[in-house]
Amino acid sequence: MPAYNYANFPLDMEEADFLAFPSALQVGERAPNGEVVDAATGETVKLSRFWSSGPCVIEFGSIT
Amino acid sequence: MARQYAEHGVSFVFLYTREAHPGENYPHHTDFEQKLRHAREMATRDGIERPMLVDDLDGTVHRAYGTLPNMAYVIGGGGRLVYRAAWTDAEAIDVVVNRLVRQRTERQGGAEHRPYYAEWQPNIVADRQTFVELLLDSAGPRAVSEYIDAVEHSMSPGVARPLRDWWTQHREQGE
Repeated sequence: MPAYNYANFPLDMEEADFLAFPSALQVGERAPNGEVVDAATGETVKLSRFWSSGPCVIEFGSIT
Repeated sequence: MARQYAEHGVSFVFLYTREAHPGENYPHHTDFEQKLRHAREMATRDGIERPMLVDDLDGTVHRAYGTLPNMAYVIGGGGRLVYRAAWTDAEAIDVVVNRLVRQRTERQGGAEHRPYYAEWQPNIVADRQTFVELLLDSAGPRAVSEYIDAVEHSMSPGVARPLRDWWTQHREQGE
């Protein structure tokens, strides 16, 4: 299994991650919380801040 | 969509992860400052106005949510997962968020709701040609070569052939 920050795109196209996705979490479960840095301010914030007062939509992605 | 729903108290955020297709322009992350710099460049490049959030270097949050490159989640105001998808599909998210907002108003009017469980496997357009052209522009030629290799290896040479032909021709023209 390649390192999280792989230097080269894996030949199997991260197949294991795609296969594991459906059972990784369940709807109805509590959303995983964690610390993230707000790129605009450099401030470290809890992810839960964004769903504390209403629904939250999270899109994941990268440039490439 | 983020602007449309902001007045209804819905937050939209973007979580920047590892580079899915590292290349000459944006190689894999080796330290957090570089990751933060890439995230800021992405916000400018792609005109992302939503809060741009950056995970730690090891992708702790990204991995907790399932590690896919373009996932989307909708989380209810109480912190429960309402929707999770292996791909960000704006049309589907609109349906989900619209329902959440509407039902909050209905509850204020005394309505009672109960959840039901659903699974859904919609299709997206698989335009690999457009994808590699965008990848060439964003990541650079190495990422294109590696992606075509992976398509050839994981799918079939037949699926990869048009991409391979385009790439061979593109490189010959460049020489």
